[in-house]
Amino acid sequence: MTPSSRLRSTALLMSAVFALTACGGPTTLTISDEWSRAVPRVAEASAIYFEITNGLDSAVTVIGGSSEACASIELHETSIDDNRVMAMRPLADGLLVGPGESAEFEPLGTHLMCIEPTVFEGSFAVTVDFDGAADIEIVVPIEDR
Amino acid sequence: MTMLDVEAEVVEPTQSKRRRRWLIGLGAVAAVLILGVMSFAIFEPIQVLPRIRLSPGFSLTDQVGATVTSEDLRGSVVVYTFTYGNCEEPCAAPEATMAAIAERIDEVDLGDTEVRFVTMSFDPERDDPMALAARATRFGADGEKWIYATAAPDQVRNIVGSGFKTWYEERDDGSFSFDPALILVDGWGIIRGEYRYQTLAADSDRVLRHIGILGEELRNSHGANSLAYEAAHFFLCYP
Amino acid sequence: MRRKGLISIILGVVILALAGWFVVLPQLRPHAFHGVIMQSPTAAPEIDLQATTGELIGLNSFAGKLVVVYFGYTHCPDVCPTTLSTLNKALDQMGDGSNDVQVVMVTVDPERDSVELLDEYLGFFNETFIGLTGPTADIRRVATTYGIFFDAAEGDAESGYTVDHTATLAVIDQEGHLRLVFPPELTADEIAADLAYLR
Repeated sequence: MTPSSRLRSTALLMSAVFALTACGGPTTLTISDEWSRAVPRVAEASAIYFEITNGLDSAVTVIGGSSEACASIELHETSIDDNRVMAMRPLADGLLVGPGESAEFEPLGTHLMCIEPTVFEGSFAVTVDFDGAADIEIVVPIEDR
Repeated sequence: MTMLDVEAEVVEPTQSKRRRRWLIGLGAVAAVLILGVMSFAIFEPIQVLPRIRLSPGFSLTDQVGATVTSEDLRGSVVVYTFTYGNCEEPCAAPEATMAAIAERIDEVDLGDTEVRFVTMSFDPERDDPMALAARATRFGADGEKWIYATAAPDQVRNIVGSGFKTWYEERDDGSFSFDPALILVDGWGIIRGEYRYQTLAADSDRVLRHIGILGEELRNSHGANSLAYEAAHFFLCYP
Repeated sequence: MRRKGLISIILGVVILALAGWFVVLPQLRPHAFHGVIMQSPTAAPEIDLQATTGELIGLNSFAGKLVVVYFGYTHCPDVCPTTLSTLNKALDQMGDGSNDVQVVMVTVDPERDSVELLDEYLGFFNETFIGLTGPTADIRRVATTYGIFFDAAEGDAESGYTVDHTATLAVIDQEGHLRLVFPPELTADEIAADLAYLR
């Protein structure tokens, strides 16, 4: 074995390992670390947070959601406008998550707004609606983080 | 005892004395250096403008009828003056200073931070966008960097009087008596300079120098203090 | 021998300098505020509104306490609950020191936020939090002087209207001077550290 052929076989082995790890990664659309902030029973709104990881080959769009525990759910996003002021507005066109990308829904940022919540402790089920992928059902624990 | 012995005794202490002196000198220099660095690190003696008060929150209508809020201006250094309709004395002086500052603003290095100019009318009844636009043209306000604007009639007193602490009162003939002022506000929405014309008229040199000090502060700011100037302003709680 | 002496002197100086830098210096350095400190504090703008505790309240009602003033509303899903929860955690961390701190929330939505609603909403986060309300004109005046902009934004039929508002916090000291401005993204640790220092 010449040094160069050894190098080549090492490279081959390495690429095989990388290919394997790539195969082992998420090839699906996943939602993780979901939670909702505890709010008082008189509250008319609460927020749902999570992280979306798009392991698919194509982009997906979060367009909203639904839950038995909310009268309705709206997608609200933080954006920086022309004046460099951050503003949060209902996101009419949804939030695009590119292939291999992830999006964080977090306090003081993008979130699903649960309007007129009916569940205030424990957890509740939410269906997150996507364009470009099947909807995902998650169980959201109510926490005070 | 010979002469040689004496000399030897004299030479020996001199050498060690010299060394000791040298060491003491070195130690002193090191001590001064260390103390200097430490005291600088402790007191951070940088020239700063005092943080005086909070600049008011507001929603204005400008010379093209667009809405401008205090949140739109957050993150920029803003210079304010006050005026009304066809006011000559005493409004014109601050507006002339403002024009000079606006013209020379490139002399100051503020990095990516913008400087905005707002001339606020406290006579919203008469100062509709058209009247504002006419005055804006007269002083060379471009409507982008420098806007002329006014607030809703029931808000003006809160903003100009309570917020900017600039006194004005309508006279019987419809003109106003008023305390002309130029006010400098930082990206946090905190008043950093008040130039009252009753005491000392602001000249563009002085205001530009003060804006320069804000620029220096911007470059040295870290942590929460730099937040206001970064892209991620998070001040408006939109639902 | 002499060289060794010199080396040990230099070593000693270096060690002393390092100790000074990392141990003595942090002790000597004044508290580094996380919020924005007002170096020339002036009297905080007056607040005279209806409190959830039942009485009309002015700033002098809180004399001797640090007052944290927040402007928010109960229909707010994200920022307001996050801020109130963070403030509660900051007070928790301060232990007994929190007795010297009063958190008040002035509603920017007096139409919907009744005294009862405010009381129940705030009590969920912390029993000691006080809500303030009043005629819109009065709230507008107080908000303006605290640098707070607010405006009801159009919402769709489901969520009703929402209120855009500045989310900064103001801290008023025991003598009624405006001392600190907090951006909303500060953590409970940072808020607790600043409040504990001012206490």
